[in-house]
Amino acid sequence: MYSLPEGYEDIRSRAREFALREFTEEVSRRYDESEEYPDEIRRKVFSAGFLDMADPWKVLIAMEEFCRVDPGLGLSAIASMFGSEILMLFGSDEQKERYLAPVLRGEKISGFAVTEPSAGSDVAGIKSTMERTPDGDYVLNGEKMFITNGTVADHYYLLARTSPPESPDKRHHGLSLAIIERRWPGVSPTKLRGKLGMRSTDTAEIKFENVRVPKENLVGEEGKGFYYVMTFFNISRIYVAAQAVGVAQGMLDLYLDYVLSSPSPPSEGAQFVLAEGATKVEAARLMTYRAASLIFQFNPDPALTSMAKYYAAEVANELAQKIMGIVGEDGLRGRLEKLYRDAKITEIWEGTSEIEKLVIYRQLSKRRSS
Amino acid sequence: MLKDEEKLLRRVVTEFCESNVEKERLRIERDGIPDSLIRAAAESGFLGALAPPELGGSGLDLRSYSVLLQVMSKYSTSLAYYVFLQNSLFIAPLLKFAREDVGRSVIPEIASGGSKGTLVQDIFRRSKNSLSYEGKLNGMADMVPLPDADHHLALVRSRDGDALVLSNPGNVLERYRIIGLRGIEFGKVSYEGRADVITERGSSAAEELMGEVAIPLSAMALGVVERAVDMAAQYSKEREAFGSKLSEFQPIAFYIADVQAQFRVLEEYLYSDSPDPLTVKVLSLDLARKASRMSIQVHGGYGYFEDIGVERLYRDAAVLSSIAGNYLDDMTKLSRGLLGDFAAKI
Repeated sequence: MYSLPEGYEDIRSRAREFALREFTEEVSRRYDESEEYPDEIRRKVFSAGFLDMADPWKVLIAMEEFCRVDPGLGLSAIASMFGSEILMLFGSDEQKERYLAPVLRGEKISGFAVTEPSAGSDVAGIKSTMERTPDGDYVLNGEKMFITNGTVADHYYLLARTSPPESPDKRHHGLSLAIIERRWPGVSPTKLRGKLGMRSTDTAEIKFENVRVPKENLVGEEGKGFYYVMTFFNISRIYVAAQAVGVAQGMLDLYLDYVLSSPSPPSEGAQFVLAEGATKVEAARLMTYRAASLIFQFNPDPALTSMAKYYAAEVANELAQKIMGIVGEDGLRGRLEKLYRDAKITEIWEGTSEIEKLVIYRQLSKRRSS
Repeated sequence: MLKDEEKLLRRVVTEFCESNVEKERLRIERDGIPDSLIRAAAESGFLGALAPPELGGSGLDLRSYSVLLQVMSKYSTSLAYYVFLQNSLFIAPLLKFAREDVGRSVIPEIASGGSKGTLVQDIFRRSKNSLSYEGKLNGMADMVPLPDADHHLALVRSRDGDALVLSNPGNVLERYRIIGLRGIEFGKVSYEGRADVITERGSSAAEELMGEVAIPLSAMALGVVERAVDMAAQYSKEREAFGSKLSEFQPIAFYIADVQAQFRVLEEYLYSDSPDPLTVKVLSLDLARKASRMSIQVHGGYGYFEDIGVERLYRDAAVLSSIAGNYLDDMTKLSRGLLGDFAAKI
């Protein structure tokens, strides 16, 4: 599939109109400077019907169009459901009722807590532990880092080690996923400030000290957490690809405004920057939609998803650097400089570009050998 | 590459930055350059680097001045820009174009840190020229660095063409920080008052100025590159993932080594006997953008936060690329130097 399913161009128009209306320069600047979580924006996005997990295309298109105008605000709103796919796929009915349903109703916010101070890309290298108590519950100890929604989420989907690995090459065994409520005793989130971009998103470091975790909050089977997280990444990465496509398109929009506002006709050099950039953005968009269509049909292609995320992030950052270098002084304040700062994280979160390349290689080599 | 006295200067500036700048790194970014640091820079002769000794300056030549800016930019590109603004954009045009009785008299004040100068580049603004000179300086200028500076040089439209004039401070209407060089305040300033004409050859003065800042600007860009590479290399040797140091992974090592290799060639060229300023400017600004992106990538999530000090390189690289012309302008000039005056006009 190389275009949106029928009806989604209308959703794109609505998302675009919403973003232009709500993410004004004043609102953007206010949240960017204060680094506060934009809960009023999240509520508006929910009320407008864009946070609809039953319709992932709608969420993906909203992500792209929101990030085209303000990635920090757009992501904050949409990521208020962060990690929900984990419960949809692996959660019990009780967990879905208690934790997922309020998030989908817009009443609560979720977070996904995997990264640690000494383990980012190396997910299996995490050190947090959940030890069994005699009554079958767990006690969680550890520290998580760079957690989106860390201080505003009502609960997190958290990965911790429940048993030691059988051998060093089996480190991904013995990891489990559990639902941890932020207000439980022993949970201490601290907001991290001073990010380069995406500054309205909430990012935190969270300490867990002897946190009692009921056995009912274990997601799926004990020891299968690593596989659940990787399955989730194969879904969530497509939303990062959409973020990057949105950021890149936003920069092209601003560049075109700049070029057309010039008193003299643009040189061919200036024209080619737009032509080359637009071509790459379109390619990234098509890759993203193709990978998304497979995910949304429950037939994901991890290689394609990683290609889309890696390429879209590459295009966004390449364009950011090129356009900033051309627009010059006019780009040093306002929306363009913000997009330049916001673009960088798309090469890092939900798997760095280096990790995406490893996924692509492993998938392609696995196909050859099978 | 560097002569003995230039190596000595490099050591002196490094010691100055280690003692005075490194500890203030975050404070500079958040609150601006502290006055104590500006005084220390003045006492070390950095604010009058290009001024001759008889005007209270250090009388550095272009190579030594470049060494100063490169080292300083490693620690704080904001402070390096401050020095660049006082020297390349204020003292140098006065030395070049001002008469003994008009303008030059303020140079000792600038060199001693007793007063601050700034340059308003209104002449370069696309369709935004709003300053005019008709006996008096009139109008409004945006993106003025150090809007509260005591002396404002302005490249403006005048009745007879373009002019470089020296004005008293205007009325600051708005103050703000831009994406990078966060230690420097910028602002919108309204001018209405007497100004002295420094030269009526404003356009050619502007062109000369742009040509002469290419090397110092490149030196600041190479400072950004050097810091980005140093930090990436160090972090890659400390941080472990998958049971190995990051530096053991080929793509990470190649990424750092690639930037370092380009840095070494460019630095060698910058300090060679006759570097082409525009060539070194285009390449070093491009490398600064590339190196800062690389360094954040190597640092992962940590690189995205200001306290580590890598993300400021990414922001500063964007500003250096924009404060004296832009990529298309530079490439057009470069093409014309190679192919003739009609090249790259379409």
